[in-house]
Amino acid sequence: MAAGAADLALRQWDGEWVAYVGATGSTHLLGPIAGKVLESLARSGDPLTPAALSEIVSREGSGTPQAEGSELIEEPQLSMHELLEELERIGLATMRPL
Amino acid sequence: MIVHDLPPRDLHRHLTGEGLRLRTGPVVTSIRSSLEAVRHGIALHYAAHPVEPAGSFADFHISVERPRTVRRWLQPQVVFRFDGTEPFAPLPGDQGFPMLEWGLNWCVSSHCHQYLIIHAAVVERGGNALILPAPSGSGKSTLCAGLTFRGWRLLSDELALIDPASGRILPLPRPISLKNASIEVIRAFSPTAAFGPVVTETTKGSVAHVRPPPEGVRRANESAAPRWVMIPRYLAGTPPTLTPLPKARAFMQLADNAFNYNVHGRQGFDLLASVIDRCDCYEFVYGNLEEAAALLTGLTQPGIDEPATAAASAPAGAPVS
Repeated sequence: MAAGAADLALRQWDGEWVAYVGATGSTHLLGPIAGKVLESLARSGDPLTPAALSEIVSREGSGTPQAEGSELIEEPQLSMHELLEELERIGLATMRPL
Repeated sequence: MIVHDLPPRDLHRHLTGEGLRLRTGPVVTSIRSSLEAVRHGIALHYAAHPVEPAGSFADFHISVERPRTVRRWLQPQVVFRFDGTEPFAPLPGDQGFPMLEWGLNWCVSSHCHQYLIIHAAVVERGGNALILPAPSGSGKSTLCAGLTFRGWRLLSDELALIDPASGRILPLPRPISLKNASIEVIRAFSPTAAFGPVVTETTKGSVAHVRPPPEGVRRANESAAPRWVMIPRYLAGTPPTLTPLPKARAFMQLADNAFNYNVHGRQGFDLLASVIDRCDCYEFVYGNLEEAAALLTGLTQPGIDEPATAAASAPAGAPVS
């Protein structure tokens, strides 16, 4: 299960996202899939499984193709689990056992 | 009263007495100095700036003086004092005026947290502000000076003050600091510009300051709406080229160049986002100042199929020249 970081703020322009974490004061540039995942977690309010997140991204799409140079540049090649681990590493999400 | 109205002896008396209350935009600084170079620099570069009454409130109390040691005779230096402290190491004795300018920048960028402050030049035309965030050496101040001498109003060549309440940019018109080759570029570009002396062998190389046009100083209480964010880069021999910059990356450029983004927390994030919402964002490469000024001024012409419009239909990353 994954949950978005507390006090997370998100903005999206043309498929790219900027995320702000109040707890750390850090700001991150994200590609479309990572941004969509975080938005989904924030919107849900409850933790979601990687499978549920994959389904949301598949169903709702992630916006325009990721532009070159985003922080998670290998994003399209990452599995949902790997993407969530990356988001956890930079403090944007937390993972917990089912 | 403005500095120009002060007889030289009165300017000297203020600077060597309780301090000259100099207003620069929203900031009042009490300046003390017995150095001739500082007095001449203030008389030249701040001629049109308001002087507040002696003894009135000042945001900062600073001085630029010779240190009180034997070095003042052996190898002259200057020190910058802020509220009685010396936040910087002394500089060689001929760098009094540059030290005043760098010290004033430091005062604002380190203390004026009522604003979100970006390391950027800002110029205005038609009520719209062009923000040029970039590190030293990018051609930011050269472009800023060039635009200023081609009809844009100078808000600042160094510090963009964004008002959290309105989202607008407040002017902080002060001398434009030019370095190395830029000095002769602007001399040739604007022969009537008022230059101070060239000070060599500073930590930034050769430095000269240019007096801000009085129009910008006179309108220092007129804020401007953010309209464009451009990351400038000088590249000799290159035609001026605007390349659309994805807004999320422009956001990160502003955040990376902010002095106090972390101080403002979530409010700073929302404020920067609102600036980006209102702006067209580009990377701007130029190799000729006259051509650069003409292209950017074209952005402000009503009724013209402006590059911003063309850029909007171009794929991200596609240049528009």
